[in-house]
Amino acid sequence: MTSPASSSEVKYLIESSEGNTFDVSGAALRQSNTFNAMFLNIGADGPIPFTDYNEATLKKVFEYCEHSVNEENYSGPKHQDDLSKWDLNFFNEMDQKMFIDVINASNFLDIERLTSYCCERIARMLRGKNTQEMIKVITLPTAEELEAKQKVEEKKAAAAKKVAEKAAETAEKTETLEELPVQQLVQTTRNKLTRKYLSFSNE
Amino acid sequence: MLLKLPYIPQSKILQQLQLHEQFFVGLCSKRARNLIKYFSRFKYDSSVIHVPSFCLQLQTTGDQGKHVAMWASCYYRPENERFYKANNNNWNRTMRFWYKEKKIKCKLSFDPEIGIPIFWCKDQYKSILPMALHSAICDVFSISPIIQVLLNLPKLSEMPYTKEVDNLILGGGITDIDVYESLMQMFTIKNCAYISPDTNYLSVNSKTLSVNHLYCSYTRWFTGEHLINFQGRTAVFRRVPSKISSEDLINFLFDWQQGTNKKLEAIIISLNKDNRMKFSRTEVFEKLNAKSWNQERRAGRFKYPDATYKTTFPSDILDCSQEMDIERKSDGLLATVVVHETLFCFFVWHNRFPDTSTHQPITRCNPYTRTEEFAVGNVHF
Repeated sequence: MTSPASSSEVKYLIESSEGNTFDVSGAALRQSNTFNAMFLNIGADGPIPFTDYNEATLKKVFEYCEHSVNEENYSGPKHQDDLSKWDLNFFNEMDQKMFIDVINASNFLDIERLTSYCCERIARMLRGKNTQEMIKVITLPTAEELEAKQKVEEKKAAAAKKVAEKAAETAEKTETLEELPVQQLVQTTRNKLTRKYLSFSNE
Repeated sequence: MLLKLPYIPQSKILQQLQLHEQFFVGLCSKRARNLIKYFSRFKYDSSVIHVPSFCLQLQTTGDQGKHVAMWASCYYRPENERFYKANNNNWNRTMRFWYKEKKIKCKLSFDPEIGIPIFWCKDQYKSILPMALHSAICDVFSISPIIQVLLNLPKLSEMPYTKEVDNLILGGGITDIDVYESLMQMFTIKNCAYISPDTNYLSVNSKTLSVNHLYCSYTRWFTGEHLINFQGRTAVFRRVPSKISSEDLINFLFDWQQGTNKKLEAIIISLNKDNRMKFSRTEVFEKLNAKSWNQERRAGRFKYPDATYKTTFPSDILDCSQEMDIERKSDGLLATVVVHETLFCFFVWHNRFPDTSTHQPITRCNPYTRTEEFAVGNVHF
């Protein structure tokens, strides 16, 4: 597959959670401290499994790494205004779920530059806002929403409890019928019939 | 989004936020508050209500506080003119705070100079809003809820509504003794106070003399009677003009020896250097049955209480290894008496052999004289 002393042109195979594999250059991978610590010095025999993350997320992360291969060494987070057009497009293309996945993957792979840019972006989203606006940014439910959610959950729990109680009652009845031995049932029916016959003959 | 991230990215995000932004995040939910508590642990340990600047601060004990938020009344008042003119046009956002089950709805704007939020409330809430903010800040940052207030003369009317203040700094030189005494009746000072009423007279029954840890500067009112009537644990009287003599010191020492005061721990009096009258060591010790230091009877260094107003002296006044002791016969309590021309120290050894590892001399460089000074106490804001 690849040799540990490979140059930047050497490609590594990365395996995602779906089991798909794709190529990433050694230079891009070297931006990941996790990769450096785990594979760079000992080499990887076969695809490198990053199976906690899906293909789209990993591709996005390594897209950033490939792009920033030729940039100068990382020296702390940049001001948003200093980000290039490519960087801005890169961030703007992502929806919130993808953004969180990228931060998680970047944090696991220990790609400092990408993690810091993402964090700086979130920090900027929070700046100059009051708590209500912050709640929207960090997508926390508001107090009203929480209350409504709690009510719905309480209703659901009450309904589930009722259903469970009914089911338990039915099961109990069935159980009592099932538990009666067949002979006893026959005897009971016979007694009833005898009583009916006797009353009839008396008349 | 923030709460779904691992701790390292969370921490990187919070590092980039200002204190007030962290405060706002902490107000969003219980989980967010726990995150802020965890992130800011060990960074701050108390909050200060800085009345002259209408500002709530976070501080590490002994250090200068950092601004978090400001408060102001929505109605124009001369005191809030600076905010009012610059900020009253951007009130489209609101926030709510609670104090003792009272809901205070505030309008929110940001100070154009320092960028921190200003909470505008109805005039009737202006004295409880700082308390509500203080309570919220203590809750979010998980710090001790002690109440520390810095107040000065022009802003006396802006004093937050509270019946108790832990630490108070009252600056501004109050010249009207009635104003001063009525202010002191408004609340109880639980721990320490730096107060310097700039008057010629102070009643010996004043509440001032009951403060646990008292620090007074330029005390023209201070006499031997005040010294004897002090009811607290420690007192520092600095830059004292010439109303107190060696005779007063002797009277105080006799009074202590014959009395039953078990609360007093330390008294420090430093005279104005320009004073004509100086203390006479010979005169004081002539009349006392004082004994020189015996290392079997007490340690060499006095342990000054921590929660006292921070001040510095040119020498290590707590080193009592060369000083004289007196003993109270009734209970065997030992006290060290230090008398120099412009300095009198009285240290009572409630614990004769305190833990030496926790009270080594703390020095700092005086930026004006560029000399090393010895610090006493740690409350400062």
